[in-house]
Amino acid sequence: MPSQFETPTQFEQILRNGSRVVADAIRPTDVKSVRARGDHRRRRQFIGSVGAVLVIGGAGSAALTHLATAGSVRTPAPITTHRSHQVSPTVVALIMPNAVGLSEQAAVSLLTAAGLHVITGIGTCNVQVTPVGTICQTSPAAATIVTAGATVVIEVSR
Amino acid sequence: MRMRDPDSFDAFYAGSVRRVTSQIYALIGDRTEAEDAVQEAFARAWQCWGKVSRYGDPEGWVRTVSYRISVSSWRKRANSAAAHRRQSIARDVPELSPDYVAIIAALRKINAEQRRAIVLYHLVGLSVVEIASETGASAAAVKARLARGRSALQAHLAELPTSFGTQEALNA
Repeated sequence: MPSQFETPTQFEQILRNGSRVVADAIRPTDVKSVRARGDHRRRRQFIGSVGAVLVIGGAGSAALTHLATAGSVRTPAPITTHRSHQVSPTVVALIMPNAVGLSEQAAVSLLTAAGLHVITGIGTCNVQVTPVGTICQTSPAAATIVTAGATVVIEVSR
Repeated sequence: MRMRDPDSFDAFYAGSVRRVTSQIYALIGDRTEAEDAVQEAFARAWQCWGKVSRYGDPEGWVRTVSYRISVSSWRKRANSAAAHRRQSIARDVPELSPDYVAIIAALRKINAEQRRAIVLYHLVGLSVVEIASETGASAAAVKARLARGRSALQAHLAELPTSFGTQEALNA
């Protein structure tokens, strides 16, 4: 650093004095309205993230339901990854359907039709988020990527 | 989720909003734009105050966020329509020295990265290392920006018919 930048210069003094005058002339907005704006952003952020999950989960399960009931296709549209055409087997990835809110029977048929192995968990959900007798939670959660044939756990609200 | 303490935020806001706004004004040369960007940045600070209040330098956080908001091209487009309604700061704040107004005018003419380095160094009083971390550049790059920004400023200040002694001021 050149030495002339290490001590306050006339340039700095003019800039700093002027800035102080500008700062004094500023009439800031009331802090309450600033906080209200921050709270609004916070709510919007929360609603946005919930919305995104619903859209992804909804789209995924809608596509799967459609394919499962189409008759000619037993497994949902797979995202296939061909590592090598000759050597490796094809890995089929699925989007976990959203089974939350369905009856246990409906959830099992939805997930089985999607090519997944279903077991019903013995634990109960901490918070009763869905009516008794319906699926309150799945592992993995809806809209996450699972491999075909994977075991998924559903929990029934009690 | 961490708790957000309104009292600590209010004290932080009261103690720093004017200073940060004056710094952003020096960075972008537009008072209305500076005030808007700083308000928005403080709102974002309150949005995640539990986290921001634990940072070593929340004021630096607000300054950085304000600057990013003010330079976003979306805002520039959105606000260009309102530009003609703005009064010049010299008319608005008559007690400002003509030299300060000349420096702000000259700052607006130089490269944005150089201007940011100059303002953070000479007005905010950060060290080269602190500027490097605030701007995401290397210390060598910051030094180069300071040196080039200084020569660029000299060229613009030399054109101005003010009482500002350009050479002495920058080389003193």
